[in-house]
Amino acid sequence: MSRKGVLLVAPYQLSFGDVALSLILMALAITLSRLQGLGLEKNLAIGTVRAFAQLTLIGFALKVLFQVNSPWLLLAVLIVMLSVASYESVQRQQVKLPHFFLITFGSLSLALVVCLGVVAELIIRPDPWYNLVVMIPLGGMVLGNGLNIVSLSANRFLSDVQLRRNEVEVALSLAAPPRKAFHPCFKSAVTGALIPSVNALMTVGLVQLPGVMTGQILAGLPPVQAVKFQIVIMMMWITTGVISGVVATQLLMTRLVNRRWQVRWELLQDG
Amino acid sequence: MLTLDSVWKSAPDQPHTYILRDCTYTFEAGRIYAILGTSGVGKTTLLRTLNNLTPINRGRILLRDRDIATLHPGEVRRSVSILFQTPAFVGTTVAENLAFAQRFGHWNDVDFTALLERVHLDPSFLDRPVTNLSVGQQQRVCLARTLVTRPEVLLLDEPTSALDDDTAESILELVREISGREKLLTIFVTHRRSHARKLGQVVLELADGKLSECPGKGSS
Repeated sequence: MSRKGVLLVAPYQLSFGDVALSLILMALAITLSRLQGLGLEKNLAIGTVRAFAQLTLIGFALKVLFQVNSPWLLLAVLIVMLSVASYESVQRQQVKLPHFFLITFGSLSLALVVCLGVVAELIIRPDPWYNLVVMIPLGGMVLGNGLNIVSLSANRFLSDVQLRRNEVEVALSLAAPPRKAFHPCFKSAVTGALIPSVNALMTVGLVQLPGVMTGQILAGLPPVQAVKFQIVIMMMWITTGVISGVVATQLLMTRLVNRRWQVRWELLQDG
Repeated sequence: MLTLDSVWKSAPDQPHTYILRDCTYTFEAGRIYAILGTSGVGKTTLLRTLNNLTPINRGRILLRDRDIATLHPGEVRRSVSILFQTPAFVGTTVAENLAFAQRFGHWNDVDFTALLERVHLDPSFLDRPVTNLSVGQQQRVCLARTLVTRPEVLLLDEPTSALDDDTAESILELVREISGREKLLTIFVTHRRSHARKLGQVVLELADGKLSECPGKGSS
């Protein structure tokens, strides 16, 4: 892949005043929520303030980080991002299982290493290899999708195991190993969590132009070049979801059973 | 054959309440035991400990004089089968359910047709979805499934509680027939004294964490 895209048009530049004008849209959304009695006004207002503050801060932080640009800094940033994603995933769990933070951290780390390894080092090939300009946005995409998939698949797996308790116990009583006994719950949890990603993969370009591609076109990159980036990003996005969902759910399974193939049902009663 | 040796087992939701308290009893091979007990006394939990589905707090459970904690969990469950109170399935059709048990049962020569005949079901049931069967027929399929692993011990957790009287009677008769023919150690828990007397060669009562033999029925 070419490392330098030829700009089709000059990148559009936005002033803070231009950005502030986007509040017109939010005002419209809040008004609609109020008129329809949705009760979303407070959350939309708080969310808007947080989005402005967080994104502005990260914009300045990235500027500094990109200037320093060292492998140790990259490692530190990725660890912070992983920790925040794992903490957020724990908060989203309806059943609080012990070590869930570590389970999420482990599964997201694996997805991060595999996907960044292939996409950054094999395809984009930044110079230097750890260039934060490439690695941090890619890492953010991996972790963002991984976090969603882990949260969805873990929640669904644990609720499915409770709902299908009789089925699980029958399978175990017939000498099935836990991996086999839990397989229907595992399968429905991971595939269910991946449905939005798979649907997006099927309809990309037909129904929607994804964010990366839209951003690059607005920034002046030729559409074909933007499409190439988008294809790579989509592959990374889906693979991230599959790796993190599968690994996290498998690790959860091992936490739920002891060496005697007995399910620790007491862990699921903390609903 | 199957021995409880000073077993302590706490209630699933109450770690300080014991269902089994220093409980010792030996079940002999080839006999049918009926265990009576009031609702909530821990009859189901007792069976679950014998099938190794739930851990005990203290003591040992011996299968052929070997502590089941030292045996492979799959080996214990192949030898000690359990029929649950409510039919539950691991496949869509009758055949899929039997095949699931065969897959982990270490026997490749199981004749499903003969198996269905043993539980008085027509072989044409093999391809039928289990959801289309009556509860009595479903329980027969589950009974056939427990036999796939060729167990030495058959545990029955109130298998007739969801059935009408006539169907319950026929299931009890079937269990007696199968246990007698296959020389299975059969342990049957129920809260109905009449069923215990009808099926059990030995009738036991679970109370205050201990198993004790009820007088009036052939004690072991």
